Parts: sequence; structure tokens; C-alpha cells
Amino acid sequence: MLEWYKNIPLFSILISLAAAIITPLIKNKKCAAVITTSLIATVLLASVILSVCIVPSNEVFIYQAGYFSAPWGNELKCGVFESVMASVFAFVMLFSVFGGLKDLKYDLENKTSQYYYMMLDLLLASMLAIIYSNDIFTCYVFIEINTVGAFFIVMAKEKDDTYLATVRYFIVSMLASGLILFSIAILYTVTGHLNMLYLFESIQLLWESGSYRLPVLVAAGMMCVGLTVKSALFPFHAWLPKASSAATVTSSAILSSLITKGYIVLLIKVFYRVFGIEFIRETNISNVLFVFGVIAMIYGSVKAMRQTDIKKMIACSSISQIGYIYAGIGLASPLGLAAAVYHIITHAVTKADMFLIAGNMISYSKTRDLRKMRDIGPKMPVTMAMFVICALSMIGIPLLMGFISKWNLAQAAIDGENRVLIIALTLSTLLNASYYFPPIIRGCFSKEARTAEKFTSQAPFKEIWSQIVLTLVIVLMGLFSAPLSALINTGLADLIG
Amino acid sequence: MIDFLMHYHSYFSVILFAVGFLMLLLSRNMIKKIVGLNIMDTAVFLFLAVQGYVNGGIEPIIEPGNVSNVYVNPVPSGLVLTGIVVSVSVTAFALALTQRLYKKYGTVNIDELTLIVRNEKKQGESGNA
Repeated sequence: MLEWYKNIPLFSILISLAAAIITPLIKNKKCAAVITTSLIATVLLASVILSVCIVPSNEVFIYQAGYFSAPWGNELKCGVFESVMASVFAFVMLFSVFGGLKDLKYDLENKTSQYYYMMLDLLLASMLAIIYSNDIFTCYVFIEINTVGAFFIVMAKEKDDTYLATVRYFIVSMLASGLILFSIAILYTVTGHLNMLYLFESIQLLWESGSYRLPVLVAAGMMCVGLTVKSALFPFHAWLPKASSAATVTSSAILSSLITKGYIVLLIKVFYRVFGIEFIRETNISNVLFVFGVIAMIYGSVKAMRQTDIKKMIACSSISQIGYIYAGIGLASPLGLAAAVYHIITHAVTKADMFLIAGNMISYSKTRDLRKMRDIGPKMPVTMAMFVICALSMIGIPLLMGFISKWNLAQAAIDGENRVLIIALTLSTLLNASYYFPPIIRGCFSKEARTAEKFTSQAPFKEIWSQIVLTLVIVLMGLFSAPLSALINTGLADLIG
Repeated sequence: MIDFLMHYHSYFSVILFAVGFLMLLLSRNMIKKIVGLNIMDTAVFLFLAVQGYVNGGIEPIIEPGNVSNVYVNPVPSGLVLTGIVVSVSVTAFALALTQRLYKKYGTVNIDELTLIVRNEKKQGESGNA
């Protein structure tokens, strides 16, 4: 007898897809927004319930999604890691939509808004499927759905240079998709499987026996390159700042904090469930990722220092944060992986919050130029205070969420006796401070700020409540980080094996 | 290794894949890029479809009078079908995007497009100042 909660993964994916079919049929804009937000809330609730059900026993179950069983049929695999990731993604997405509602009203044309909500439903469905699926070809199909959805949410605001940003995103993303598809084709050819468990067993056998080494290696390389391009790791990062600075606020938040993370979660699954971490270590793929991660940590920060556009600065900072995650994965140790997963969550929450706050600042100060935001501190104190908290969290000041993830990463580096990572971590933290502090100081303590009237352009509560919730999460997770760390460690126990 | 490469179809599909990949990467014309994308996808489909063929195999439908020891592998065909659906939808999106670009900027060349957007931005900035 199947326990009821084991249906939740498939149920969440199916209701998201069903909502994606219904939403475009609704002509009423408000109704579409209500359906989408309630869908995301339902998925969030379901994922949290699922986590609560499986955490005590640390259960990992396989759900047979179809008539046929394992090697032929399609499967979903769910453990604590997957359910926590799904909860985090749904949570961040929900508040990104709430926080950006005002800008959505302004940025979208009446005709396209229900399609925008449809794409949000599809994005949610595809991210859930990427997290849960145990079949690599299913993952590929949902990667493509995710990609098209991401194109649309970047392009939806048909102002400024969103078309150009979409074209650039399209080109790199399609190259990556081609690589991933070819990699899957090669893997299928040499092993005859698409199911992750059977792939793992066959690849272990092949690698030990020494036959077909080159094809497996090529497939692993292609898969890595494809997924890192899609998650904007350093040499392939150029699309991210352009796309997320041009798009509307909700899109930027979702693009920077969720879409890139979905691919990183898949990469972790591919490393640990398909190729096996021993293989990845032996072939030096993890070292290559580590090197690029470290370069990204520094390069992203340096690039962010040169930006004058607030959204571009935040997006460039994403590049450096994604570098942190890859450096953690590249350590190929349990501690490094735990630090990387913790940073995925930290960055998802903080970056979404920052984009929403930036959107708020832009709409009230009527400029995107950081140099012109000289009196923003006193004029919108609540918004500015939240920006400061987010910035401090990104820099890694104690008592905030970002500190914990940097602490974890530093511990992982010390554990692996990796001096390079510690130096890079210190340098990157200093660089982070050097680009987050000037706008804050300028906004709060410049000549204009001292003479400006207070509270003149503070956004009303109903426009910033979701930012407040996200900021509270950042503070609370910083103060009480132990449960989340414990949760991640239990969840990763299955992956590490 | 050797018998993996003995299938000369694999050679062709790898070459085709490279052609499509480079076309998508290097060509400056949007339409050519989309053609490249399709060549790239088709190369993978060729690769997959060929792998499913078993020498002397018949279609994997078991009926009285249609029994054999060797059947063709049906899974790659299923994968190819799914892949075609994905490829078609992405192509449709790309063509729609190109149409929008052409209507707005009057060009499908990426370099010209970048130039136009940059100039627009400069004008906007000088207009604001």
C-alpha cells in the first residue's frame, strides 16, 4: 500500500501543468494572478508537508510514474534533499511573484499578462520535475520547458532592450541544450539506460572494465558544460546580467535565484546519482569546476564594482555567488556539497529579496542609476534598511544567513586543506563589501540625504510586505541556522551514500 | 572503442552536430542561427535513431506470423519523437522572436541589432541629461 504523501511529488508537477493549461484561457488578469499564486502556495504547502512526513525517518522513496517498472518506466525519486529544495523553490517563487505584482501590472501589456502567469506555472512544473525526476531524458524535456519559460519571462516586458537580452540568452541556452541532448544520447548508446540508478551501475561497470572510457568521459564533459552554461558559471556568464537587468522585477528575481539553481541541483544529481563522485574526482571534472568557481567568485565581484545600474550590479553579484556554489561542489567532499546546497538556499532567498527591493527603489526614485540615488536612505527608510540587511547577508556579516553559508564553505575548505578557496573567499568578501557599501553610504549619509525630508517616498506596506517576509527569513535563518543545516545534512546522506 | 567508431553514421552525426553548433554560435544572422539549431538537433536524432537499429531486426510488434529472434530497439524512436517535439517548439519560439525583432528594429543581424540598441541607449541618456 502506497502511503498518501508519496503522491505529492507527482501531484505538485501535475497541478502545475494543469494550471498552465487553464491560465491562458482566462481573460481576467487578476484571476490568472490568483490562480498562479494559489498554485505556488499549494505546491509550497504540499512540499512542506512532504518534508515533514519523510524527515523523521529520513526516507528516500521511488515513485513509479507510469505503468511499467524500473528500467523501462519513468520514475520520480524523492528524499529529504528533493523535498526541501522543492519547498525552498516554491517559497522563493511565491514571494517573488507577490513582491513584483505592482511592476508586473506596469510592465506587461494587458494581452500578454495571462501568458506570463502561464509561463510561471510551467517554470514551477519544470523545476519540480527537474528536482524529482529519476530519469535523465525526462530531465532533458523539462530543461527545455524551463528554458522556453525563462525566455518568455525575460522577453515579456517589451520595453528597453529585452529582445536583445532574450536573443543572447537564447543562443547560449540552445547551445547548452544541444550539448546536454547529445550527452544523453551518448550515455544511452553506451549503457542502454536512461534511469539514473541503472546508468550509475552501468557507468561504474564500464569505468572499472576500461571499455568505452572516451565516450563516457565526453558525455560527462558535455553534460557539465551544458548545465554550467545554463546556470551561468564564469566563462559562460555573460547572458545573466543582461537578461536579469532588462527583465521585469519578478523575472529578474526568478531568473537569478531559481532558474540557475534548478540546473545546479540537476548537476549535483548527475554527479552523485549518474556518474558517481568517484568518477568525477578521478577525471578531474570537479577540479575544473572548482577553478572556474573560484575565478567566478573574484570576477563577478570585480564586474559588479564597475556597474552603475543597480539591477546590473545585483545580477553581477549573482555570478560571484554562483561561483561560491560551484567552488563548494568542486571540492567534491560531503562538507563542500553541504556548503554548496546551503548557499543555493541562501542565495535564492537573498537575491530574490534584493531584486524585489531594487525594483521598489527604482519605481520610487525613478532612476536605475546608483550614482543618482543620493537621498534614498531617509526618503524610503524601510526599503533601505532591508537593502542593507540583504547586502550585509551577501557580504557575510554574522547573525545573517549569508554568514552561515560562508562559514560552512570556509570549514569545508579547511577540512579539505584547500588554501586557494580560503584566500578567494576572503578576497571575494572584501570585494563584496567594496561594491555594496558605497551605494549604502551614498544613500544614507550624503549631503542630499542629510537635508532630505524623511519618509517622503516610502512604498506602502502592501507593496513591500513580501520583501519584509524574505528579509525576516534571512535574519531568522542567520540566528537559528542549525535546523536547516541538519536538514541539509540528512538530505544529502542519501546522495553521498 | 573501435566498434563504437565503426558505425560511420556516428561520424556523420558528430560532424553534423559540429556544423550546427558552430552555425548557431558563429553566424550573425538570426535565421541562419535557427537553421543551425535545427541541424544540431537533427544530428542528435540521427545519432539516436541509428543506435536503435539492430541488424536484421524487425519491428517490435509481436503478432502471430511476426515472430523473430531479433527486434529493433523501439526506445530511441520514442526519444527522437520527444526530441522532435521539443525542437519544433523551440524553433517556433525562436521564429516568433525573430519576427518581433525584425518588426521593431528592421534587421535580423545580431551585430546591427547590438549597434542599434547601443545607440538608442546613448540617445536616451543624452536626452535625460
